Amino acid sequence: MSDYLIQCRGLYKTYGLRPALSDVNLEVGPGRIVGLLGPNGSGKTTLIKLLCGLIQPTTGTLAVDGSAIGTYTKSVISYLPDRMYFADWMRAVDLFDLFRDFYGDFDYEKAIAMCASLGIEPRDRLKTLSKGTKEKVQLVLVMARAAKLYLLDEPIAGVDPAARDFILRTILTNYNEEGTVLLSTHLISDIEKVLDEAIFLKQGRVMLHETVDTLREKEGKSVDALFRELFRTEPMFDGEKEGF
Amino acid sequence: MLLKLLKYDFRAMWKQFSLVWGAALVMSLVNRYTLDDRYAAKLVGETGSGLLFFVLVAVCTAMFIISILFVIQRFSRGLLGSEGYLMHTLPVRPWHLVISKLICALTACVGSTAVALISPLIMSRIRWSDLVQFPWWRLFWGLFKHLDALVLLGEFCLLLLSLITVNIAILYLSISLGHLFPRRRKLASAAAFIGLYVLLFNVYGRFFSLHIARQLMGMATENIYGSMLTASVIMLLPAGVCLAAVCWILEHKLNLE
Repeated sequence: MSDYLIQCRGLYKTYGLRPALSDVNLEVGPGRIVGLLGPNGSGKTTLIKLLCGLIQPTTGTLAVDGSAIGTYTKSVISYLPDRMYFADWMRAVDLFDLFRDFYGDFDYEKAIAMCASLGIEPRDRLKTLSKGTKEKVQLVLVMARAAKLYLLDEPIAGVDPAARDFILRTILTNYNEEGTVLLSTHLISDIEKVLDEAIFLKQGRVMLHETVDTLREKEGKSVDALFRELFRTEPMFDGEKEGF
Repeated sequence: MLLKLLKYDFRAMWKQFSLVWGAALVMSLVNRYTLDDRYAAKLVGETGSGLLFFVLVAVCTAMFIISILFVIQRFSRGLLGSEGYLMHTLPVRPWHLVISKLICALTACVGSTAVALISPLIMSRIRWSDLVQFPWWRLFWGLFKHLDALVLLGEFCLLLLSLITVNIAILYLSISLGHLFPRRRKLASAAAFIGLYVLLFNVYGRFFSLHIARQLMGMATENIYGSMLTASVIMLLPAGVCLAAVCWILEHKLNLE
């Protein structure tokens, strides 16, 4: 189809008058693990939602696997949103049935096996599960697919360090190696070791897009250290705080 | 793909309605005995039987309120709320999603109407043994001898379905128009709903004042078949326009912030 799995050209997105993305030009190839890094409100979720077709760009073009966002791109994207999207009356197996119906690359047996390894009973009603377990069910749905592009929006946000390792291990041991994983987070240190590329977003603009090896070589520091340097905000001194 | 979506939507519908439909039918059955049977009536007393009848009325009222809420929520939450994150990432076209929701909403409305019609039948003094002995084949034979009556019945049902469809389509378009606003979406949807009804009545008013439309209706009302079919078409046309607009909004203006 195309040499690049993701292609963005002059992408703008505004919410009312507030710009969320400004002139984003991006190319990401297949078989990569890419970190979409930036502080809160930098446009990470907006970019992922644009790729999923959940929001529409204000201007600019966007393509996944050489196709404009549509039915085909949705069939090759496996998306983990930053919220729960299922109805409470469902059970995990109902969702597995739904995914098997719609996605040819969904592996039902793998999903059941992943549930067993994550300690989830797939026949339990979702409303009886804890928030953390529901998140795991969503992770199973995403990782049981052999997708071309995995879009994971803050998969390790809001969980303790042990759970972060667990989630990352689940992602790394289950993704389709010919596909690309685009993972948004601001918890760089936890994912740095697994990244091939890093995209730094700041106020809706791409500040930096390099391979992690090149970054380390050029800057002489870890991606986490570079992130802290680039996005450092100075605390207010006492006088400023008191309104002087 | 539409069938697969329908499978999912019908399961959601069944989860919501199985209880209330079942409750309405059970309450009708209970009322049949408490209102009709001397012993059962004595057992629950006059107040008890009145209370049971009140419960049946309450369940039937709740059934219709749930139907309206179901039509609104399955569309607003299912496509434009959190569940939309799942539905809009499925590899289907927006019209598949809209038609699936529409068919399901129609079924829910028809199902509730059917339960409301069956309830008095269950409560009535008809004896089940009489029903079994009734010569149904004669009734069917009689109906087949008067096919025009069947056609008329079919057209009447189509007319009712068209009426429900146009109302659901206006509801869907109102919610979709409200979704285009960055905030106060519910208020915008309500305003759009009122605006669309006013617009529709105005358009109908102008349409029927046209000479050609009057001629068309005149031709149609010469026989009752034509008039009901024409009325169905007249109602399905704006429904089609509304649904096309909904699909366009979902395809080009979707904004699941």
